Amino acid sequence: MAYNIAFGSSNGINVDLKFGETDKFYIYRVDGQDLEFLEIRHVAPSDPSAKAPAPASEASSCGTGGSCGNGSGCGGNGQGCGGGTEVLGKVALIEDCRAVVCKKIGFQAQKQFEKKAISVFDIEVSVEDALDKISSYYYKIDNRQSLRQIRPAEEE
Amino acid sequence: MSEIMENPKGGCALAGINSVLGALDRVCPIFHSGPGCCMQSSASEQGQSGHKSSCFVSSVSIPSSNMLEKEVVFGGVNKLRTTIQGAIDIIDADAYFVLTGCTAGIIGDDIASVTNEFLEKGIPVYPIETPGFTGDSNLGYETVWNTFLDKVIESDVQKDDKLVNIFGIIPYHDPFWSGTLEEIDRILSRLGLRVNTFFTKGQGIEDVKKSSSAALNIIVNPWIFKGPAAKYESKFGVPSLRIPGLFVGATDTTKFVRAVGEALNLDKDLVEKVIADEEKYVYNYLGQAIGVLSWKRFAVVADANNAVGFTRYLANDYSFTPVLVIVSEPVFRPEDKEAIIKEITDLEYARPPKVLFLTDQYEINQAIREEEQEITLLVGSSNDREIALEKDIQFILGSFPMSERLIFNRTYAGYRGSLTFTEDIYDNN
Repeated sequence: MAYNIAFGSSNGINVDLKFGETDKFYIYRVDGQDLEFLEIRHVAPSDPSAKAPAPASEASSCGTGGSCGNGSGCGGNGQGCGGGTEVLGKVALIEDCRAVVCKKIGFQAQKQFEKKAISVFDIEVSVEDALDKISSYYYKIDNRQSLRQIRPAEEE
Repeated sequence: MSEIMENPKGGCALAGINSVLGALDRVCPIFHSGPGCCMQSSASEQGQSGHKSSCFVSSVSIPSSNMLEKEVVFGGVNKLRTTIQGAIDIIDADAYFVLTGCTAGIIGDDIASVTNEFLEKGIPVYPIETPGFTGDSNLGYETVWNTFLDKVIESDVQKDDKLVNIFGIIPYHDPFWSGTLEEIDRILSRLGLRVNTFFTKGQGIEDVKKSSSAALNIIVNPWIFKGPAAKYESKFGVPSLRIPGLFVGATDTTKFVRAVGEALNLDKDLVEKVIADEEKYVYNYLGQAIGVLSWKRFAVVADANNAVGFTRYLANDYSFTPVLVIVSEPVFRPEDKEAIIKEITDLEYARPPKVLFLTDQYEINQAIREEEQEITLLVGSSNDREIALEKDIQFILGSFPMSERLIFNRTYAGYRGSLTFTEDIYDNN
């Protein structure tokens, strides 16, 4: 079954941005072992009137400043029990993805992704490398193949 | 190939490795595994072994790389590196061993390359590349010694013709391990020998390193430690003497002392004097309480070593009638099974008992439940108490797992241990 992976990247080559600082996600579509670049999704800079946005929509969460308070009603950025509204917005932006890859992803955001069963990989790596490893990992578990890797020394 | 086992008596290879390292003073295991392995592997061995667990590090205090999905996808060596560094910063140990959990074993992380980075800096960090799924805790015991033989034990040491190494008593997997090792140490010290038990008297990695200087390896077990024993001989020229089962009581212990005396060419007069002295001690006590124990028809459920010891003591020394002996640890090699059966059935005058090799608790219970001959005493583990209650049989808690007794230095082995064993049978423990 095809799925999407979101990358926090400034240039589409390396995963070099933290979840909190990224303003766009590079979305790749994976179907079995076929990989394809789908689109770039931008995080809208500020839109106080927006509620939790629909997936893949350009409309995004409330602002970076103190302008939130809508939505879940509690707390601001990262302080509330529902998670920061900005976090929620960003999570919603890529909630159709199976995994998200950023240089760092904070605890609040990780929990929000966990709720939606989205895997979090916080690692500094090239997009190509991450795409390759994650897609082959999912391919193996989806097809019930062993993850066992034989190291060269063991083959002798 | 795979089957489900009810109430396995022991843990995985990782649990065995963890137990052995935990019993060595000032040695720190570092788990390269998923979260939970530290606690579970400690609980499955140390947690069921007479309420005694390693006090240097054990269970939740063991450093672990806590591998999750990210490490499975991208490899866990970076996280392992920071975990090892963290352990070195916080825990002041004489040596660190990196253990491999199933996760690391499956994805094939190269832990040796990481530990080598630390070894090159002069920090004693060694890899043990045997993942948990490879086998049971007995295998873990052999794995640790194989690792020591390959990576830790020094070869250029002065030979010491009075030094002996003791093997075959597995820490925590035998609840009486420390008492048993102390009793062996006590007896052999009387013969003028210096004894490496490795796990008592505060011995640690330094004694392991110098163990190649020993004159003899004494293996007190009918089947474990064949591989490492051969390696000791080929690599360091240390020969082995296998004692084919734990010795409980004067008869078998005297046999053990004579065997050691012959193997090391000790002064015969000294050996006989020690034997006479020890036997007098035991028989003097037994003589003071003749007839306090009524005659029993007994069954034993225990690991091979203890099953041999209990059966032979009760049948040969105490003239109870053996009915059924169940060896409750996984033994696979036919020649090992034969050796165990021989020790259990080759009794002085008693009719040989039925010997079964069963690891599944349901099968063990069924065997006891359906035994046609009457049983009036059962020596077994905490798991076997239920069937004893069901059949209204007197029950003695004497083998692993043992969760209803506190065991410090108590043992049933040797000269003095047999007195404790006899006391416990009277107490209806």
